[in-house]
Amino acid sequence: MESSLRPVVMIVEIIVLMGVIGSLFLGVKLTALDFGMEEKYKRFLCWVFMIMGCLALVFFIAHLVTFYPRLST
Amino acid sequence: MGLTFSKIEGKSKEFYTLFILLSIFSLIGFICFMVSYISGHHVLGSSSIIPWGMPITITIYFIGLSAGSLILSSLTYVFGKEEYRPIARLAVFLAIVLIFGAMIGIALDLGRPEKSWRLFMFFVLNNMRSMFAVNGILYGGYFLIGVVYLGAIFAENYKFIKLMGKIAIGWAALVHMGTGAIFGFIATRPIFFSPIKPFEFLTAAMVSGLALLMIAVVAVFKFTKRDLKQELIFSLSRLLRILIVVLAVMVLVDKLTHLYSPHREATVWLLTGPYSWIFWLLQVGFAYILPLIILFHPGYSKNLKGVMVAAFLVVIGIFGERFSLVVPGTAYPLPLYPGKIEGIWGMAGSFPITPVESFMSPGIFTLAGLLFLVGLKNLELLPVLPPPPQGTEGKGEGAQPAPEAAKKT
Repeated sequence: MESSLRPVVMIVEIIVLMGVIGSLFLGVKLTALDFGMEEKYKRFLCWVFMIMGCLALVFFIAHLVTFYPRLST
Repeated sequence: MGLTFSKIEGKSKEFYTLFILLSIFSLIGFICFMVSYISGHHVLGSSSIIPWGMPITITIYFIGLSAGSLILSSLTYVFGKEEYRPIARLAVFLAIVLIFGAMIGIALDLGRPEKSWRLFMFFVLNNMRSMFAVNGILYGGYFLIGVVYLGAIFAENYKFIKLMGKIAIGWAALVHMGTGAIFGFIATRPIFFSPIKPFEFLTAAMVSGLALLMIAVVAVFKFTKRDLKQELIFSLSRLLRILIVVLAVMVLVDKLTHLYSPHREATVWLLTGPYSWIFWLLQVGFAYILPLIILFHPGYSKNLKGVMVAAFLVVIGIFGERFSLVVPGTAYPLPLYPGKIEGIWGMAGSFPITPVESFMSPGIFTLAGLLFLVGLKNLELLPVLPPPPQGTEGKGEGAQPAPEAAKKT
């Protein structure tokens, strides 16, 4: 893989990973609602997931910058 | 039981300013974490000699604050002290936020947070004779219990609240005693090793948790223009001074025992060495002596500002207590070769304050602050305001959003 392509594929991977994390959070939210959580707490849950999503995003960026393969070198 | 609760409106300029400031500092903290992940832990001041730096100090500090706060919520929900009901929900929520902050601290200290799942592979990948593995059960369970407890409070299921309250107190005590045991059971670290550490940690947790709760309650009630009965804070301050005395006695006993010959070098080094100012100024001065002077003073102890100053000193001082345990405790050389100095391993370690660590550590605090603020805006944590005087309706954060949002508990 050309080194110039590395940032591009990392961005694609981050998008995919964040999609997975987003789906996971959505699943947790739906489960919580199914278990009887009132609708009015949905907003709080969304905020918490957004903050946790930011944490996950930061981690994914750091992880891929450090460990994504450099095949051309 | 007749008290109603509401969330804050969260539309004032002050709220947004605070929110933006906390977000910016959290973002800076995130960026510093990225730097530490990419470059390695040495940018946080840690080394082979001092592997536990600021993230672990913050973690045990947050665990203490959280456990203390949760135990205090039980005054209402378990022991039936109705006068503390206005702050009980806030105490439970604060406990959850703080344990979340502690988990973030642990994740940052791991260096490779993606491997944190291994912490929860009990009996499979973990050595269950290790205090770290035992504490994994305690921390994970504590977070879940806290969330279920808060859920029960919001659902107004009184039987379940009482049951969860009892479980939460016991678990919170175990959590902090377990954290103390991590240190107290390490026989090779003379500054850590002590059978009294679990109890010392539990008392320190209650002291710091109570002090932080008092600050949070006064700040939030003032910011949202709620009527705070000052007697509530004064009664908590009386509890605080008793707990400080108990903690000071425990620390005194611990240090005196360690000072007794023949293995006293490590404690003498702690009390007189390069980190001694943290012990004497922050731990002894800020956490014990100054707050006790204020809280036993006939004038200052009945003045809200005086009590708040004492609470601030305690919160800072207990952080100093954590720091003066973690860093000097690991900096003192291991007794691998008794009676000899063997190269670098015979020298005490040094802990440099680095820029990355200096910005990352406040990021953990601001992230917890951000979550707390989000909770205040979206959850019914604060008691409903008394009717505002004429001509001041709708001003300030305390304006109630809607009557149906207020809940009885």
